Parts: sequence; structure tokens; C-alpha cells
Amino acid sequence: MKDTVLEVKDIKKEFVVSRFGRKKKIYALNGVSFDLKKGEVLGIVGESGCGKTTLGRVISKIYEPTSGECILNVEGKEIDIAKLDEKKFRSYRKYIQMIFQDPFASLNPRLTIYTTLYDVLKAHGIGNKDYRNELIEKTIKEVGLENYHLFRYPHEFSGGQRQRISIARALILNPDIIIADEPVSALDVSIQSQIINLMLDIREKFGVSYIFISHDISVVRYISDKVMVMYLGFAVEKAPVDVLFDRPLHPYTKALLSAILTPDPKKERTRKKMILQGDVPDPSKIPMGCVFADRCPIKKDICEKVKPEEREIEKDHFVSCHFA
Amino acid sequence: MNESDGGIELQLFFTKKKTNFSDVWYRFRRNKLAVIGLIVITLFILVAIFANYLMPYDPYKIDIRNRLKGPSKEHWLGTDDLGRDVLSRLILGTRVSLRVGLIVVGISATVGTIIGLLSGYAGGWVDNLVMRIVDILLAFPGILLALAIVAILGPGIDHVILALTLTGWVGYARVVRGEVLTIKEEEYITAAKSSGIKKSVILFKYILPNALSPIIVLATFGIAGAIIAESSLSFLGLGVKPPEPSWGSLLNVGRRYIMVAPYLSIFPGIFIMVVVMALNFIGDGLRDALDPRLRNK
Amino acid sequence: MALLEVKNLRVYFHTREGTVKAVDDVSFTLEKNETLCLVGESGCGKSVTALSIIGLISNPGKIESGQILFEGVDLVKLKKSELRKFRGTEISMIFQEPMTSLNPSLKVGFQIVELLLEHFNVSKTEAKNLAVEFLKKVKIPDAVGTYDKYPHQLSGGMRQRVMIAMALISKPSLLIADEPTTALDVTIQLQILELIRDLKNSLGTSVILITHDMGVVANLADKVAVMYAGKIVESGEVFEVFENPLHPYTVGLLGSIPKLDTPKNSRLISIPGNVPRLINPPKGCRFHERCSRKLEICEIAEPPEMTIGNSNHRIACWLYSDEFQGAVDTDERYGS
Repeated sequence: MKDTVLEVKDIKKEFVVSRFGRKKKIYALNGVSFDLKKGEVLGIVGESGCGKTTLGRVISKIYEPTSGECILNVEGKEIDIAKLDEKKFRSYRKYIQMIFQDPFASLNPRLTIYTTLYDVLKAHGIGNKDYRNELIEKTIKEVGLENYHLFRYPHEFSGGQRQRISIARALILNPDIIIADEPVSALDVSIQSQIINLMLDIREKFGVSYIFISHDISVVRYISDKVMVMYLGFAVEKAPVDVLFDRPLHPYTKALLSAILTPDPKKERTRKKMILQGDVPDPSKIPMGCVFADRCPIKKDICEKVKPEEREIEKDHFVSCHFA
Repeated sequence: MNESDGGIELQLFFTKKKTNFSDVWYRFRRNKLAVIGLIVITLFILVAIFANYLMPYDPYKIDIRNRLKGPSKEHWLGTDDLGRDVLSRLILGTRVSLRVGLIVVGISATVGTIIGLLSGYAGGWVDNLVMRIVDILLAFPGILLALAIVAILGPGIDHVILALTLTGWVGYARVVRGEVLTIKEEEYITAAKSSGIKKSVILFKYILPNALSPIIVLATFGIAGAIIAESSLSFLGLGVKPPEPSWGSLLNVGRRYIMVAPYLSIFPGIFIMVVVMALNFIGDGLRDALDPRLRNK
Repeated sequence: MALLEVKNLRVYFHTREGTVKAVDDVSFTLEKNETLCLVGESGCGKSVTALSIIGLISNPGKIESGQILFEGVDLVKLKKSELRKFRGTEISMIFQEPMTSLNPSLKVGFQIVELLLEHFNVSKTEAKNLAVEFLKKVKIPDAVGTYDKYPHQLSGGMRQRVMIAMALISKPSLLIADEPTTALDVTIQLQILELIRDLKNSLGTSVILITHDMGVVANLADKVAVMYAGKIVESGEVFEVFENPLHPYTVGLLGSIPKLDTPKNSRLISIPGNVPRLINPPKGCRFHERCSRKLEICEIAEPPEMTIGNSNHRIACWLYSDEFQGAVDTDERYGS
């Protein structure tokens, strides 16, 4: 357990939404567990409504988890941040930072980049003014921008540059974990690879761990060390990246991998595709049995009645399916 | 990299770069209308301060023989029903009107904005409670409520200001709260929270500036509204006591003679209009100057 | 005769800041029952090209010059009222976000029936039957039930199916699909792509598909045109272009996508810099500022469009011009 920076155990999150006075429970996370080692990249994939964004926000305490543990291993001790209230969590916040999907929306349009970064340092009481300036200057160079960019406003930058700024904002606190929620989905293809390369450079240099949330499975495969596949608030399969792509076990994982379009027309048109029927289900109604039962091509009676237990099929390869 | 080098380089950068305030001022200056507005308002404030030296006649001196005389060489803006010099009375009235307008809007915009910010940000029962109070206050016509308050407290300009402020803040609170509800869902607020920015900083540095434009629009109109409201209360004998002039009361007096001496209502009307327009220009200029996104346009 | 022939199309937007040359001298042809993919990044002019075909360019945009020959008729010259006859009958369009193209306060079935009654001489019952038939055709499981639903009661994938049903119900000769799967989940995307392919084959419709996703192109296209900053930089048969990409931009674009067989720990190719603003596009070749293989001439003159071999693989790049052929090392050409 020495090099584990984060251990999430059976985390759950329910939202109560009221619509026209009627209250409805949304089960966003239904008991997700994983661990994250130092310098490791965990990819989380799944479609909209699978809970991947909620998971990221629960770990970074933007949302409070309903139950479960979230053990952060920093400063040589283990702290369950799920139990901490906002005030107590403040001093741990700097260890877990986030990068958001939309670089156009995640920066305050009225603040210069300098102020945006300075505010972060000030909020954590780091250094004096000179030290902060030094740090800002160093960080901005680290993400491939220049000093003169600091006094510009977000709208003066392109999407890729803004995402660099977002990365700088996360990086400046020297975090152990960066949670990146679809960090390249809003960017043009030619810019995406710039950002992915930058994120990998940063890991190399600073040894941060990433939780990389994305619907784009090819990107996740490229950047991750291990992958967790989510469906309707459950982790249906977890495995090291090569294992998952070589030997996917859960039928949903197989369908997801099959849905990746290969940018090569010959391969794309000859490969066997597994086209799933139906839609992503409603997270306010969690089925009694397996969550994937109603779209599953290999469904049997038991799937609708009994929830499959998570099993370790081979080392570090977990799957929740009766027939895997 | 040598550690101290970095800091110094950035410091140098700082001295070259304009500060935030001068940046805003620079952008404001480039808007000609806004500058004109600022000059006009400054002039009016100077007029209010130096009214005693600027009035050509004693504004209270009754001269029945010269009543309802139109503009002339002696009386530039004519005389009223009691033969008093209209220009002098307007100059003196500037004091009351500007005072009412600026103070009422200043206080109610500040109070309303803070209440709206807190209410919208807190959400839950706090928000519910505040908004029900706002709803109740908005359900009454504001002037009626002000009337009741002045009736209880007794007439007088300070009481008018108090009454108008007590009813004035609700509009700001409602609008600001609405803005906050939208802005607090923006991703840059979530991002600020996740980087550990303190709540108070988020509220006043991240949310408030982004909610500013409707406040400014509301405030510029609010000043005109307050000037008119003061006149209504004065008309009912609850504001300034006659013979003390205010623009509103002059306008009201003029109304009685609209057929024979229209200039009596036209001139106070023009004064009010000029001030309102000037404030509007300032408001627009301020809004644009505060928004860095519009800087290059 | 080709179904659609776009010749030297220029669409400019006259804004206060200057003229945005969104589409600048674009030409292509589309045969019957063919799928053409216009691919490129944001602001490359792919959507504007599509909108000008269907006549939906509005102020401050304007078709400056060029021809859009649809079955021999120049759509650019038509009056608005004449153009409207083509729209929704001969040429249909579907958009990225189906929610915004459906009226949220009307039932889905009603909207389809309205469309039919407006364009065709059918009775209400006929229209209703036809609507249900088409909802079945786009493989909506409960077609009759869906007929009576409001758009917000449907999932994104179902909404896109409804849009496709509405677009195809008039049996148009040309379907323009603007990023039809971008807003959808990956498993749903595959469903929709299959659906478009099936319907295209069964109805004999030609398709212009606009996308930024090279995977979608590989899946569906017969022909592909790669756009950059308002121009087509490379075009041809999809197999030829993907197997033998020539323009440095196409090469970079294909290289920057992580594929399932991209070795881990290898760096992705990335194209430096950003997409240029089209108010003052770079002189010469518009890609030269970001191009790794720039020649001197690229900064000065626009590259001519030329054909490679005897295929219809066309490219606009100085590297392949005869005068500069000597400068190109063939190994390098295929991006080793």
C-alpha cells in the first residue's frame, strides 16, 4: 500500500431532484471501488449517465458522497476525505486538482490568467508575493505558454491554449492527483494530441497520477495504465489497459470497444462490429439484476434477477458479469 | 532557472503593465458617450454644491406681478405661478433630486445586490425565505409602500430616502439572485471551488463581476425612478416641504399650468432627462469597460 | 450527369471586424448514391459549404461567386421561393443536436405529419400512416408509441432517428448530415451510422456527411474532402486518401488520432499552432504556418490544385507540383 495515493471503497452518490414538486432519486454512483498508484493513469470510460463525471466530482469533493470511503495517502498518513467536512478538507484540496472539459467555460472570463493562478496560490496561503510570481512564471512555461500570456484574458486564447491554462491552474499546487474530466473532447483533433502529449510530459516530470475520464476509448487506451468501464453507476470491468483491450470480458466492454471507429476504411469496413440495441438506461431506475441486462446480447434469466458479484478473473482484472 | 530571476522578471512585467483600474479607466475613456455622461453628471454635482453662487435670483422671492412669464432675458427659464425664477429654483432643486436619486440607488443597489448574492448562493430555505419577502414587497406598488412609511415616520427628505430605499432593494435582490443562480452553475465557478478558492472570494470576485451588467442597467434607471418618486411624495406633501424646490415638485407644479405655461414642466423634464441619459451612458460605458471580452471592440 | 456539382464556391461573411472568407473557392462533385464526407476542424468551412447547398446562408453571410449545380440547376441563381421547393423535398438536412431542430412543444408524429401535408398532396390518414412507416424504417422500436411522444421524452439517439425519418420521408436525392453523431454516445453513434448506410442503400439517396471525426469518414464515406481554413486541401476516394495521404495537414490529422494499434509511450504526432482566423488568412498556402514541410513558395503563393496520377485524388500543395517535385524525398512523402 506504500505507493497507493488514493483508495476508493464502495463509493455511492444519490441525487434528489424535484421536478414539478415530485421528488426523484438519481442513483449516480452505486458502489465503486478502485485504487490509484503514484504516477499511474486510471482511465474511466463509459457513456453519458454512467456516473464517470460524478465520480470525479465526488473524489474532488465538489459533491459530497452519500456513503463510502475515499482514502487519500499523503504527508505519510491516510485520510478518509469522504468523511471530512469542507473546512477540514481545505488543507487536502491541493493534493487533488481538476481539469474540466470545456476550456471556454472553465475559466473566469473577467480575470487575467495571472489573477486566476494567483488566486489559487493565495487561497492556499502558499508563499509570499515574490514566491507566488516565481511559481506562476515557472508553471506557465511548464504548460508551453509564455510570460506575456499572463496578462491576457481567457477570450484572447484558443481552445488548446485555454486547456493549457486549466492544466497550469491544476499543476501550480503541485498535486498528487489530477482528475481530468474529458479534457480533450471539446478540442479540435490536431489540438487534442498537443494536450495529451503535454499531460504525459507532466506525469513524467512530476509523477502525478491522473484519473482520466473520457468517452473516447482510443484516447483512454493511449494515455492510461489501467481502465475502469462504468455503466449506470457501476464499475462493470476493471483491468490493466492491455489486458482490457486484449481480453475484454464484460459484454458491455466488448460493445464499447467495438464502437470505436478505426480511422482506416479497410479495417473499419471489414471488422466485426457488435451493435448494441437500445439506449443508455435511466439512472433513476436501477434494475434489480445486472444493470446491463436489457441491452445484453448474451443475457440469461439469472441476469434479470441476480446482481452479478465482482470477480477477479486474472490478476488485477475484475469483472461483474455472470457469464464472463 | 535561477529562482530569484523569475520573480524579478515578472515584477518588471508588472510595472510595464497597466493595473486593473487604469485598464478599466482606459477602456471607459474610449467610449465617447460615456465620457460625455460623466462630464454632465460632474457638472450637475458641481451645480448642486455651488448652488448658492450660481442662482441668479433668490429662489424663494415671490413676485406676483411677474407670475407665469415665459423665458426672457431677465428670467432665462421664465417664472412660476408665484413669479419665482425657475432657473434658480431648478438649480437649488438639483440638491434634493440628486441627493435622493444617488443615495436611494446607492444604498438599495448595494443592499439588494448583497442580499441577492447571498440568497442565490446559499440556496435552500434561506433563498426561499428571502425570495418570499421579496415577493411580498414586490406585490405592493412601491410608491404606495413608501407612502405608508413616510406617513408613519412623518414628512421630510430623509424619510423619503429611507422609504424609497426600503422598497428599492427588492428589484436588485431579485435580479442579482437570478444571475447568481445561472452563474454559480458555470464551470469556472466549479473550477474555482475545486482549486480551493474561498467562498467569499468566489462570491465577490468571481460571481459578482459577472452579474454586474443587469445591476448597472437597473441602477441607471433606478436613479430616474427615485427622482420621480420623490416628486410624487412631495406632491402629496410628504417629501420636501414647500417652498423648498426639487425637480420633481417643480414638474408637478408645472403640470397645473401645462396649457398656459408649458415651459414650467418642460424645463424640469429636460433636466431629469439629461441626468438620466447621462447616467445611462455612464452605465453602458462602465458595463463595457468592466468586461474584458469587449476590450478590443 | 453528377447529382451535385459545386464549382468555385465562395461564401464570405461581412462582419464589422472584416470579411471572413469562410468558404474560398471550393469545388467538388457528388454522384448519385454516393457518400461524400467533408472533414475538417472547427472553422474550416465544412458546415458553411453544406448550408450554402441547402440555401441557408443568411446575413452577414453571402455566396459571393460560384455555382451549385443540382441535377443541372444552379441553386445559387434561384429565388428564395424557388429554392424552398428543393429544400425538404429534393435536399434534406439533419443537424448535430436534434433537440434544437425539433419543436419541443409539439408531438413528434404531429411534426412529421405537418411536414408531409406541407410538401405533398396527401390526406391526413395517409400522412399518419407514412409517418409511422418511416419511424419503423429508422428502427425506432415502438414506432406507434413514439408517434405520440414529445421530443424531450426521447433519448438523443431516438431523436436523431426521428430527424432522419423526417429528412428522408420525402425521399430526397440528397441528404446533408452535419455532424449527426457528434452529440451521441459511442454505442449509439454506431447505430446511427449503420442506419444512415442502410437507408442510403435502400432509398438510393446521396449523402454529404460533415464531420471532424476521421473514424466516421472511414466508416461511411465513398469519397472524402479534407478542408482547412475555407479550402479543400485534399480529396479523393476514401481508400486512396487514407492509404496514401499526401497533404501534410491530412497526414498530421491522421497521425494525431490515437489508434488502437498506436504503441503506448510513442508520442502522438501533433500539429503545432492553432487554426487560423479567416479574417486575415495567412498568405500563400493557408497551412504554411503550421506545416512541418514548408517550402519558400508556400509563404508567397497559393498552391494550385492538382491531380495525382490518373485517379481523382486531388491535392493543393506545392510539395507535389512539378516544379518542386525534386524537393520531395519520396520516403518522407508518406510520413515514415
